[in-house]
Amino acid sequence: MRYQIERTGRIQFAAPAREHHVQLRLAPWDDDSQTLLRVEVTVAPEVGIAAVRDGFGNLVHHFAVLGAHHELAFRMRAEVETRLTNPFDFQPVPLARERAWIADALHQAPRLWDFVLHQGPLTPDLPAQLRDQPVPQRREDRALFDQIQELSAWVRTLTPFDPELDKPVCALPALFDLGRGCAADLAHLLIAVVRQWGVPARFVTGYLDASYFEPDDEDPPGTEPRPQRSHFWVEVLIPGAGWRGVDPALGLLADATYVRVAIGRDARDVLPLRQACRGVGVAPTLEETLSVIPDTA
Amino acid sequence: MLRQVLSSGGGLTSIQASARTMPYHEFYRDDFRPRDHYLPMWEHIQTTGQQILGHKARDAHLTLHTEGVTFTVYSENDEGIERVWPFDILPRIITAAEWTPIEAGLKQRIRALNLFLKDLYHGQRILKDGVVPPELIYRGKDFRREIMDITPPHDIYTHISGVDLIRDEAGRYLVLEDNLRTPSGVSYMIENRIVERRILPEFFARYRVRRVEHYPALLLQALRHLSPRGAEQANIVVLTPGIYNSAYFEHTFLAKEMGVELAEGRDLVCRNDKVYLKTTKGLRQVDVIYRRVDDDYLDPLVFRSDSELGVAGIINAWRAGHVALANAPGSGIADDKAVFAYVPDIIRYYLGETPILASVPTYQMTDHQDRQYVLDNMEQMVIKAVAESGGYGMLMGPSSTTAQRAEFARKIEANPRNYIAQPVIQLSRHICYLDGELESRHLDLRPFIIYGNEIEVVPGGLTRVAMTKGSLIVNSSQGGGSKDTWVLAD
Repeated sequence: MRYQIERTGRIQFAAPAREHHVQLRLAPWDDDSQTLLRVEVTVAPEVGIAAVRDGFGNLVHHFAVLGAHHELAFRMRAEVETRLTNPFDFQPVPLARERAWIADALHQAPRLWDFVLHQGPLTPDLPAQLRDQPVPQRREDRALFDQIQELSAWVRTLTPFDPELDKPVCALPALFDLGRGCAADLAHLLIAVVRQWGVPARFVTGYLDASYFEPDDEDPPGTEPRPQRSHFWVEVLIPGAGWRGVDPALGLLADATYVRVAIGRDARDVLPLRQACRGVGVAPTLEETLSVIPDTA
Repeated sequence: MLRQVLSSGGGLTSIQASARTMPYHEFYRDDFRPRDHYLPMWEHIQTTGQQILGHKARDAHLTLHTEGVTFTVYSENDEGIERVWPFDILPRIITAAEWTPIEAGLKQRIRALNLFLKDLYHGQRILKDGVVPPELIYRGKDFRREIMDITPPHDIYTHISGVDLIRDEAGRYLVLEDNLRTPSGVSYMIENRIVERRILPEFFARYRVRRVEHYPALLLQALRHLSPRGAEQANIVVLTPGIYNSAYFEHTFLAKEMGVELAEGRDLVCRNDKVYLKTTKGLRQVDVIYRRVDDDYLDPLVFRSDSELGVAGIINAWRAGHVALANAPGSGIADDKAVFAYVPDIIRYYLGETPILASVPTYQMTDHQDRQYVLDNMEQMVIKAVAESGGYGMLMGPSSTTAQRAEFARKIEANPRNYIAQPVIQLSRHICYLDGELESRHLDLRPFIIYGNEIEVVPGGLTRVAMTKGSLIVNSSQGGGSKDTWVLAD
């Protein structure tokens, strides 16, 4: 699939900011599963923008506005081609070889250890039971990929996805207090379990095809499409396949309708916007828009 | 498994056996006569009379007081107390023959640790080859994955290092720990020498003592060497967290001695991947930053976002090669106390050499057998939190209470990667002039190593003294004192 993506943001200050440093992780990845054909980031007021790859390989745009300003607007436009039409399209590894396959991957690329070992407030060490339900254990008699999909369903049952939930990602105890979660919350829970299985799992931010935001059969006729927004899911290292995207929020496997933007250990590694301001007493406000349009040409 | 890190001779059994013997005395021989290299000093004291030392000690204290040489000690309730730098006037003397292997051993160690850091943040060959367990690195609090694949100028990570050495009961120098982040104490090494020269010129007349006062010049040269715009144009600043930092005196001292600006985070600003100093004449580009701000606080865009001590964008500027940072962010993983046990292997791996300096044996709490042994023998152990320094987060087994041991046992069980243990080594002793008497106290030695165009070890270092009788805790932050350290030219 080919997509035209536009993401905008407007940061506003109650009192003028004099020194404002911004780092954006908005541009899609460029790798085997998707090609970044074009990317452009603009800022008003106009300043020099630099692009680098961070320690995880994510494309990061950064800039600084040094004069006094009340408002800063940014726009990222990209064209991307995604290719993973069928997530099942790979040569599976025999069951008995799966553990060895993962051990070998870790041996070849020690950087993967981050996605096995990392625990933090968002992806903590889990107790044996969550909400009176035993946390699923990895079994030796079933393919890992199948078990991961079941686990994703378990996460969604344990904590229903609420697409309207507009709140920052939260640590797990708070998530259970609320009884439902946003996509990032469900992703973190899935990651926490997969890591306990000794399997590399990483947090992904990205964009979805516009069709996911269209009204469905249950909506009353004439319902407007919901506003598009970023999405969050998980990638698990699957023997024989490599990284495969698993989306506990929507109960799907990521395919060509998922556009990957940034990967990290958890949401804190991949914040779309990081900023630092000097001399500003009140935190700035942020308004964002997103549009992901399939390129039919 | 206990990592057997003694590089040559004896090994662990001899350390454990000798733990029952007396600590090594730097000054006295076994027959309680001064060692040969202390004789000229001793004869002088005998000739002039011991009471003169009382006057000298008062003069030294007064000099340090009027010069404002201070150190801030933070207590448990976080109230900082500024103290005059505690100084004992009797110097510690190291012969040229003793110094030669120390110098060679430290150079070897620092060379290897820099290759290790470069490898960890790039190809990770040592992890793939199974020499160092990847889990150890990836569970390390000071491993900074944010800086993966950044190449610092000249591939140098630790431009300034301080390596703590102790002497075991046989008088053998052992590495106790490496300090590769922002080791402090060098200003005190210099102040000690300045005071000593002023107070006791007659001692110096009897020895050929190698200089340490040129340290700021060496440091300046090394920092210039890093400048992306070339040494000639190098604009250098010392970045300090500010007046509340316990080593603030040192930050001001080094900036003044090198003739460079002392800056706080708010004095610097990044634009277009370059770092500028805000001056009354506008922005002036900075090429090299000797930063004394910890990694966590260095850049709110990359590390802790709530930091006000750092400079937003500084990591991007470093990544782009427009500014050099000394020491490089991420260096702390190489002085992680759990990685310490692997340093002899690291030396062998990168240099193909046998380690010249032996290290204190280290028990890994992640190893089941080691952990059980340590938990069963806590009274004979020093237990340390792996990413702490300055004597914080530490249990001295022999002087601990049952409650303290129980608390540490709980902490170790909860997070084994966070702790290591070492057998208690009776640090060597030296005479000190305390309240009119000559008393023996335990001490260690922190030599400083500068890595610029080449690796240089400053001949001397900071000798830290445990001022309380029998105590083995020498850290300045825990109320330890110091001595001038003389390395003899011949």
